[in-house]
Amino acid sequence: MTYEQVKEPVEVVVVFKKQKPEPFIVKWGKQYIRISKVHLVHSERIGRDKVYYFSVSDNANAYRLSFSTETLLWHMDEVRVLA
Amino acid sequence: MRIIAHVDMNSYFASVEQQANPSLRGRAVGVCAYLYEHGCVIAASIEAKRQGMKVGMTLKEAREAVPGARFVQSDSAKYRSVTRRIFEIFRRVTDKMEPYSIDEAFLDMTGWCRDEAEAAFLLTQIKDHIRDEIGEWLPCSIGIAPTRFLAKIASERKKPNGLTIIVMDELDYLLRDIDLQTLPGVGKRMRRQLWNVGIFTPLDLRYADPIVVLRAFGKVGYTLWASVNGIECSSLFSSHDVPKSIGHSYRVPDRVNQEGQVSSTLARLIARAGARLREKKLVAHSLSLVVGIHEEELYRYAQKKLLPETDDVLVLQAQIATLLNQLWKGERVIFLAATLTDLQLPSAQVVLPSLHEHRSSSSLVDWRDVSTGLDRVRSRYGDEALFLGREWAALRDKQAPDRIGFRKIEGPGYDVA
Repeated sequence: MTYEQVKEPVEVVVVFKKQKPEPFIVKWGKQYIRISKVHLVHSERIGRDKVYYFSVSDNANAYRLSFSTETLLWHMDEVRVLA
Repeated sequence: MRIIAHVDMNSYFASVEQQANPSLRGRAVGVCAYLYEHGCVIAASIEAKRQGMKVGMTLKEAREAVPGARFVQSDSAKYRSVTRRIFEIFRRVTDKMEPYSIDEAFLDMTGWCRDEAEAAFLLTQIKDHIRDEIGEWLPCSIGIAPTRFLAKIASERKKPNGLTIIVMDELDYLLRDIDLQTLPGVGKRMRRQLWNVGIFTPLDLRYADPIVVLRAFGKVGYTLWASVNGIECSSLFSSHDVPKSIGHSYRVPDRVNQEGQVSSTLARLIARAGARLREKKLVAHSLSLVVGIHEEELYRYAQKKLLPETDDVLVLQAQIATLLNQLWKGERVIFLAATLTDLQLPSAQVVLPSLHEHRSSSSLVDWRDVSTGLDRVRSRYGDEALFLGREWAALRDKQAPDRIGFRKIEGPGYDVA
């Protein structure tokens, strides 16, 4: 099982399902990732910033994306190969 | 008759990790506070438990017990956030919900449903809500009974994902079948003591003379007797009570000793406990220190009264440093725990300065402002945005990070997703 911590900025297309946002497509470098499932959403307050973490996957890998409500930026935090 | 439910999330931390990461599902997973050899397993997945992994094993022991297991480091913020969401779902079926720990809660459903069957129906719906709104890999066991004590026993009966109802008419059948140690609050020692007075099963305890039990075990014994008789002894829903203690502990890795960071790590632990104390607007009347020394069977312990009571980080760090000097002479440390006890709301009594007190220039400064200032900066920029110099060595090497205890559900960054 390969695991990597990356922490790189990404661009994300989000859809709202049942009034809640879910990452749909992630542009990471030149690669487009189509998210097939959101497994878990959790949040953490870091000072006045509130960061939402989305544990998601496509058909090959699992990813952890984070969204800062202070900076309004998305980051790719972790990548894990689904074995 | 009251209707109390106890909901216990099964293998909670491991289940949350499996929920977040599908590659861990169906595998033996151990969640460790630290991924060091001596770090211990704080949660094992259902699959890992079936293969012999137990909570409390060191990482080394767990690896030997289950060779193919995966180990992940605990992520406190994730568990707190998921707990908060689960508890919000619980609040949909009752207005009286008592969080008992990070992965279990009592729900008083009296008045919200006619009988136990309706309570069971509502709680089954709760399971569906957890699956739909949070994730499908978060099993829970539910116990329904007239008291909290019996509800907790009921939830232990079927794991994972079980639902057990205890009604008073059938209590004897249940108590006959279970071991004394299954009762909350009964350990090996208490069981042996109960055997000595001729009580071998919970059923024997139920029909024992309460006077005999009271004489033999005091208040604890009477409470136990009353509990197996379906009498509620503890006060319900006391989540706003002043806690007995606030503390932090740390399993010290070897490099802390090698780099001379023991006192810095301890300063970090007490600073974190102090921050939680101030957050709850309490003061501590005493503090204690536990130091585990390598190859010593017993941990060293010392306690100190704080006169006057305080929540000031500078005083707390100075006092804990004094205790460390008493207990530790430079040996190899494996464990540190700093605890603030005898907690109270601050007194409004003005403390008059002694006539003989030397009024130096420093006494003109209110050093408590340092604590207040630290808290304000941290609340805005994060837990590690500003710290005292003596914590620097520990912080630089990420020693004593935020960890989660089973009775602790608040903490920095605890917020709902």
